[in-house]
Amino acid sequence: MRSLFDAEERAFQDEVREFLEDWQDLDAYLSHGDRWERVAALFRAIGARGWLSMSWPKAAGGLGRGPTFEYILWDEVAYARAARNPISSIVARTLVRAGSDAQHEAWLPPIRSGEATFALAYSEPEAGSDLASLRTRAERRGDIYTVDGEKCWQSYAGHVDHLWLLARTGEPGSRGAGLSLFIVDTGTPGLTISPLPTLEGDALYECRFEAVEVPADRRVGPEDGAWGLMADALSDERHIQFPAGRLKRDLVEVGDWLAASPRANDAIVQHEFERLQVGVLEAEVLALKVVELAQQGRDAAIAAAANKVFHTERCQEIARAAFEWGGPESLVAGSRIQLLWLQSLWETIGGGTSEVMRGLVARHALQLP
Amino acid sequence: MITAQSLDADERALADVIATACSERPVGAPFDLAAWQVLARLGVFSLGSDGPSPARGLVAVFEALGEMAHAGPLVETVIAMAVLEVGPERAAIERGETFACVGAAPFWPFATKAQRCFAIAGEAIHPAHLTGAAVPVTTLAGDPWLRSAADLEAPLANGGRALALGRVAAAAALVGAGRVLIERAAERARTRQQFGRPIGVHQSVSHPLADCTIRLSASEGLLRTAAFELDAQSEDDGARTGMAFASARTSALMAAYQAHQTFGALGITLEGPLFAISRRVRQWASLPIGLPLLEARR
Ligand SMILES: Cc1cc2nc3c(=O)[nH]c(=O)nc-3n(C[C@H](O)[C@H](O)[C@H](O)COP(=O)(O)OP(=O)(O)OC[C@H]3O[C@@H](n4cnc5c(N)ncnc54)[C@H](O)[C@@H]3O)c2cc1C
Repeated sequence: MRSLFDAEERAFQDEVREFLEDWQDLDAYLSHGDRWERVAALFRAIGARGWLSMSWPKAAGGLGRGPTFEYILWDEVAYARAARNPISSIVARTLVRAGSDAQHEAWLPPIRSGEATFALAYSEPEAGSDLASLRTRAERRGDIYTVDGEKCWQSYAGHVDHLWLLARTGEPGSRGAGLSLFIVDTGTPGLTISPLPTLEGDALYECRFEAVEVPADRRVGPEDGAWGLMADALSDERHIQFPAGRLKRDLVEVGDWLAASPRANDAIVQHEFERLQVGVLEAEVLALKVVELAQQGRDAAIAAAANKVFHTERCQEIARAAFEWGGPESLVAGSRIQLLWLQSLWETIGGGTSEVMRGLVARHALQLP
Repeated sequence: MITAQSLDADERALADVIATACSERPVGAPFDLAAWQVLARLGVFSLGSDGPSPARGLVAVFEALGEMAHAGPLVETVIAMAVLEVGPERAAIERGETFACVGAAPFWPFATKAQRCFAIAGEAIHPAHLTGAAVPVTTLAGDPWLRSAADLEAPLANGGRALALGRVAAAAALVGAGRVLIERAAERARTRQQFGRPIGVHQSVSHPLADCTIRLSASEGLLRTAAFELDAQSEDDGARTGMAFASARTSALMAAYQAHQTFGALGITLEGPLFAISRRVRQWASLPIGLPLLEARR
């Protein structure tokens, strides 16, 4: 696929690869575990090169570079298993579109440098796929919002300094029309963040808000206006989610490992491996389609949903095959194949489930009811 | 027609006894000797060599053990009991006082607790002696194994039958566990509300669960008829039980995936409703007792 990138893009790809030599095998793409300090250092190192703000407008302190460069960066970072792109990126895109001048001044520099770290506080016990039903309330009195409620499944929340909180400011039942976005410091009194250990050995987090006071200047965008902002920020961000680098690396690892196994010459195994290889190439063109649409300024929502389903299901397929081929070696706790297998189980859930993504494709690409 | 796909009254009673005896134990609980000895007292480890229909007995009991995702070297003990000569050592294993290790190089389940070791190598079972340095490892489902080289003696004459019984036990455990996973997922699909409706109203949720149930029924039927044939002929060329095991592992693994998908984020938690079962399924599905199916006879 290298040929699809122009000379400048290829030069950038080489630069990123060279930069990543110091950050190989952090494995934080698969699971953070106790690696957060290294991940945070990586984000600062990426920030120091101006790459966290690569696509921001120059007026906002960015490099004004197109989506392809961002894809190349996060694709290579995924291939290196170094990390997923930070949540601060979605915060920044929202701030750039809807933040006040004072907010730009306060937040964009530390996000650009990688100093400010965020977790996404959207989901709740009763609001998963149906996010618009969320109940966590932010009640305004004077210059303070008081937040009460419960969030769950927040990635990284136990490590970061801030939550990017989606809360209800409108009437109960106002669904998407009554939601607002806030930046909340994780150390704020009344906010309790506890781990929910996950099967691959990492954790998501639960965030309880009990009369948590948030200054009104921490609300980003208009009150009750979050839904549209979230859609816009997401559309600015789609091309860097689920880059093919992760799958390519999975396949390389499985291939290397298979080459050393007695099953390497088994015709059935070889055939299956070829099928997986084709799947990874297919996933790559779907990911690049999203980038292409973004570059053309066209709506990539459906292409991104298609990419998410296809990418994550290939990811599970590779892990499943690897586990089978590994035989009992895969069963040893802490083995590489086992980590891949366990981790792949949640890929089809986090960031929107396969069922919901297929629903989007069916409705919007095929006009099905 | 012989109604081999259903359990008869005696078989159901046997399964009920096991389920009742283990009812206090959380599903998927880690290995513990007292629970193991409860199974021994109920005669679980002598099933494969007892009565007129040992394989059918194994099916009834192991489906129930599968529903509990019961820990311990269950299938391995069935295999060991079928190859061990009658004597005090076998009797001690039968009583749950000691263990036999049945593995395939280089992994030896529960070997530190075992007095005797057997190695599965293809279609044969050999007495084995671990040699050199043994490294303890823990498995996905939390079992203690040793990684070690081993010297093998000549294969045992009754290895083929022992493996056939082992496959029946493993297939039954997988079918039982797969059923529980799908029951839990179906319960979730009926009760979890999103968008003001149970998630199970979506065919993208309900149909894959239906597919799993269909598959599991096929595996159950194949397993129960394979056990019936094994008992009727009291010898087996391995093909039928090999296919039953292959079917059960595919169905149970599919059930595990679908259950995880149905539960959303809750399903991927360490202490959640699924992982204690799904990791046991993954481990049973990896038992080194499969047949090269392409070579199996029709
Ligand atoms: C690894 C991981 C990381 C996460 N990180 C974060 C985070 O950082 N911040 C955050 O706020 N949240 C996070 N989440 C939560 C994530 O957003 C939710 O898990 C997701 O939205 C699904 O919600 P749920 O888990 O409640 O499942 P549910 O919505 O209960 O879904 C259960 C099942 O029902 C199906 N279903 C539901 N609705 C429909 C429908 N309309 N049509 C068809 N099928 C449907 C689903 O596809 C699924 O199979 C994370 C989750 C995971 C697994």
